[in-house]
Amino acid sequence: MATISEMRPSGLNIRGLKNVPGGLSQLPLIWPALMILGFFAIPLFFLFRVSLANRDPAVYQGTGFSLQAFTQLGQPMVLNAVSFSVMLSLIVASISMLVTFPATYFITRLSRRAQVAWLIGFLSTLALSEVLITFSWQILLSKKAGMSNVLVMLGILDESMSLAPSFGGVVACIIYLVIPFNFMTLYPGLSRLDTSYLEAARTLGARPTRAFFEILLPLMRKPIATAFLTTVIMTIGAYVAPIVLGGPANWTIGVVISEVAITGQNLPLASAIAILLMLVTAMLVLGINRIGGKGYVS
Amino acid sequence: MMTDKAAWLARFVFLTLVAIFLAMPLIVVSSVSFNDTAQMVFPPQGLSLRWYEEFFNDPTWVGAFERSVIIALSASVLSTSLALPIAYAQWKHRSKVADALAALGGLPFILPPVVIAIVFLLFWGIVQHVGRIENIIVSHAITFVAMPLVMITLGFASVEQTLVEAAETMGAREDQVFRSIALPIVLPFIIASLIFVTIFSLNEYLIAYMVGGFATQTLPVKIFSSMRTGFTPTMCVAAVLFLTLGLAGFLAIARLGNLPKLMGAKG
Amino acid sequence: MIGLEVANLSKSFGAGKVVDDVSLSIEDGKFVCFLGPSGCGKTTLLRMIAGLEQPTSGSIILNGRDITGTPTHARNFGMVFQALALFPHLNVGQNIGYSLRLRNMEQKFRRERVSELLDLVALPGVEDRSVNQLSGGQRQRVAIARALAQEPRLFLMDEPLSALDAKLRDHMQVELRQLQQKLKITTVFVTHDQREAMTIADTIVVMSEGKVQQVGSPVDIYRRPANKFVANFIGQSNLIDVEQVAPGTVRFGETTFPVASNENQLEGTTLCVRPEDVILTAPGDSASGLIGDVSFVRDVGSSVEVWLQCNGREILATASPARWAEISGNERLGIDFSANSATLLAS
Repeated sequence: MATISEMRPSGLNIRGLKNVPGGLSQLPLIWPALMILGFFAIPLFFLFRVSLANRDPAVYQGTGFSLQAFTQLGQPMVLNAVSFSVMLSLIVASISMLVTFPATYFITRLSRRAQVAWLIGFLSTLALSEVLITFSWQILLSKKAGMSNVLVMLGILDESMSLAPSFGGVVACIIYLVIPFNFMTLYPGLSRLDTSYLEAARTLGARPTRAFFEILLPLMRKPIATAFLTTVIMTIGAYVAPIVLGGPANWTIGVVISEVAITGQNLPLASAIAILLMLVTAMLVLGINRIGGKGYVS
Repeated sequence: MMTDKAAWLARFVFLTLVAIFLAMPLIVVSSVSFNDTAQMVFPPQGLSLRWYEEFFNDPTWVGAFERSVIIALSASVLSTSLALPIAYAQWKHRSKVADALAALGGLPFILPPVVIAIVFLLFWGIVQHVGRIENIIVSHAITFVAMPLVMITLGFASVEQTLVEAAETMGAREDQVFRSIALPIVLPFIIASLIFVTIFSLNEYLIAYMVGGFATQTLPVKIFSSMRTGFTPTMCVAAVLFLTLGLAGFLAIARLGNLPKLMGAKG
Repeated sequence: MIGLEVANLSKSFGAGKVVDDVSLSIEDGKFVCFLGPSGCGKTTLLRMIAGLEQPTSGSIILNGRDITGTPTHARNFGMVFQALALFPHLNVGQNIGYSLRLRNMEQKFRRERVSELLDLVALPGVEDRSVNQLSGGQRQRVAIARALAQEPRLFLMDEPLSALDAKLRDHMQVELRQLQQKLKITTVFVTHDQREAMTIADTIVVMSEGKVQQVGSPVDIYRRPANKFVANFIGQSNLIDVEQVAPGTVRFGETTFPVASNENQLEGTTLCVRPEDVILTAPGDSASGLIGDVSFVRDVGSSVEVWLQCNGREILATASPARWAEISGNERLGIDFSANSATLLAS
């Protein structure tokens, strides 16, 4: 028996049009396609092109073809910054995960109203500019207006002191920057988590701490890995906090790239370092995703 | 019973500490902005609005603020206009092209921000279109397009297929289904993306610094350069202004829709 | 012997009392069902017994020891959850053996015990499978085996069969009952399905609005419902408002007739009769003198359901096909209630 659509005269077969590649329905996609290709894919291509150019004082983006920029990647300034950035990002990601995972878990167990309040709080700090947050930490770590004064008031310190520039200052500030992002990544998984898994563990005889480590953590492996990754990506190219709160020893690869590009006016090298940074990031992404596995709860 | 209470207390203390940690810099900045002296002193000495007066009487601060707002609003509209067709085509036609565009659009979110900034710095330099306000608008729209993509996709996913089918059996064409069924359900998600991109663009520093020139200084860029040259409490005023705007935006989203669901919670 | 005792247990969430002053005794080795509509507090009561909720007041006593404050993990009650809650990151064997690992049982003995348990639930040899590869019925069995692994003092089940299709559910009910009789383990089972409760339980606890309405054997509850709620919730019943004119004699409309009522229900003014206890006769043959007009007939094959209008009330009767063949010609029928089947309920 013929279906209704088969009986329809072919000239009126409007539904069929949808399936033609590039049919009418794809028309609205032209706008985003043009914009994303033009202003992202092409710029990304330029990055690769410029990294292969010779430095030319007359032409900002360089000229010709050479591997000059890539050979310069071996210099200590770059290598030190890369290894420092990787170390910094792993430290920051670990500490912030230790704080954020339990905090997020507790928050998802709160009432709906309390959750909304926390969400607004986290979103507000998440949206605050890196510049503003670094600025606040600069005040917080300063001698005159900082928390050392509070410590003096509490009798913990004898005399107020400046806590920046320091590695600790950089770490504290970046942790502050990434905690809301960690929260946002962990929140969906934890709030959708079926509580009966943990209750089942309890009825089987697991103490809360044991259920936490043997049931909750493995179930949340994927979101934890994703959150960890987000932190690493954000930290590895951090710019404002290291430059304001740290000394030259605390310069990340992000600072080096901007120094090379803006102060050094060497775009081929900056592009090459950016590509190196992309490779390092890609490696970390693959590694951490592998640890994360496929995940159990979406 | 006792262990329950102790556990509850431990959680409460822990969460309070986290809240204090998160609030601390904000409290310091806002109290310094009401300080009576030109020095950065905390706890503040005397209450005054003189730094607010100064901020609003200084054309460079107000100019930077206005520019930031213009950029943020334009970027949010542009970004959402890119995301909407993609999310729609993915939902309605399971379009492969749209999938590819969504993947490409999501890329800036998994690249370190400094790489994105360099990419745009290069691009605008090569096309010889430097130091213009639209550079920042387009760069922000592309950088943040992942946010509206995710949110609007979430919106379309919450349109029940049976509603669409019911409308089709009543004779609605595709455009009518979109306008009468999908759009009303997706609208809160679209508004949320507009607000999100606005707030993120408003606060973005690195790209605005690298692709903009001196004439297109945004507020974060201005704060950063003043921070390098020395403190004034006027900067704190700018910070408070931004904090308030962000807070207002998210409160609006919370009122307008289901914030926990938008952030990925169930129900 | 009394195993579990629940005394004056209450639980409030905010302003609402979900469980309201419940007292119960559950004998050792019995299969008890908490039965009631959704929101009646049955699951909360079960969860308080499991220690997953703290009661607002009252106490839970197991073998003479107050366990109200004992944390869940120290109670040793096996529980099967509605969503089963099989750990997706562990395989079948690891799921079942989890409680044994917590009790530091050696790997070798653990494997033996797991395989014994899988035999018990008729699912041998699937230790190494992922729980996601199992069918609904198999997951059910694994969940049951996991809860039994620790040799629990009490076996708790929260609507465990609700996700299964009707046929499989019937089958699992029988199996579960046989398993329980074999192990002689005290079992508490929560369900909203009265048929399930009737099939499976020694004792049914009917609950509504946080309160226990009646406790008794399935037959007891069906034959002698304690109140209107129970009479309505369990099976179908005719609830007829009557006036008691003398002990054991009631008046319905113009007609007076005797009922064999329960001693302690002599005060009642509502007569409860199951449809199968309504005897239809030719109009002249009714002993009680009640006559009704046939308003609707539904022949479901195995029996015939007949609705009658009698003294302004609707009465439902079921007749066997043979009986219906004899009387179906009449538009009016006589109505009798079989002896000892009509119960008077307090209003």
